[in-house]
Amino acid sequence: MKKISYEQLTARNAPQLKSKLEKAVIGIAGCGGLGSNAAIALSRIGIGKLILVDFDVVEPTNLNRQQYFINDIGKRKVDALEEKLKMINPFLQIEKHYEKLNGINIKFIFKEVHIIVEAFDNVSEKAMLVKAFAGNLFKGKYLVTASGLAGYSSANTIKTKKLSTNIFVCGDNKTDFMTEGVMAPRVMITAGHQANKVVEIIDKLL
Amino acid sequence: MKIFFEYLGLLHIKEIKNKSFLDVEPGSTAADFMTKLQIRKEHQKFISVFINDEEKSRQTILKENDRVKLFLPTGGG
Repeated sequence: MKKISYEQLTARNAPQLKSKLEKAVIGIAGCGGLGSNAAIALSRIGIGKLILVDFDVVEPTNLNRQQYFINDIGKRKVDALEEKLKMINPFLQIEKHYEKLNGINIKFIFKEVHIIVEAFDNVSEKAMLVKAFAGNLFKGKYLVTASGLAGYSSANTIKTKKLSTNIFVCGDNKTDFMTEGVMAPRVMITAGHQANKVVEIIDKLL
Repeated sequence: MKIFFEYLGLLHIKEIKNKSFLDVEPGSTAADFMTKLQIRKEHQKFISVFINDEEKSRQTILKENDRVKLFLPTGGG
């Protein structure tokens, strides 16, 4: 593989972000459609460290929206995603957890993160993560969650909204995959919103 | 007393305009408020409550002029 420098990788970034992105630690809760796309965006801009969490393996039905290839089928998502991220940004530190997040392990796995990207597909897991922010457990940390990215209605309905001082939600807050299906365009747009909100927070926080 | 109410997600709340002022009984908790809105029980367990830009428990007692936001995530990812 050809060698590049960190300076070359980040040469087109906003100059004021340079040292901030390198210091940032971001948790990716779920490495499916949202998580794989957000992680790739963050990897490209030179984020310091990603903590990837997913209990699943790549399946053929994932390929319509998730950043995996046919030869990834059967691999753990955290492993397949790590390969891609390292091919883009060899300076990225990656910590992988092949397990299901719950109310107990979440505080240990995400202990050092500045921001968590919620990228589950399941309503109960999404709710679990948002509720985990209700007490002091994640004081000082931020959550960028997603809700409403299904179907193919106007992309302009996907927004980033503030839920609280440290929680933001990206999506249209309406469309549901059970009735409308879930496909690459709106998933990637929503993941882009999440990654961009992460950058905005990093700029203010670090 | 009046509170300002907003919701995000498919809550199916009848006859309540999103982002509007509503009357609630003094001493009502967020849980009482959700029951008053007739939010389905199966939805209530997934709802997060935000009061004045802070996430709170559903046992929090509402106060005059509170800005109450209910968030029910929709699936997909």
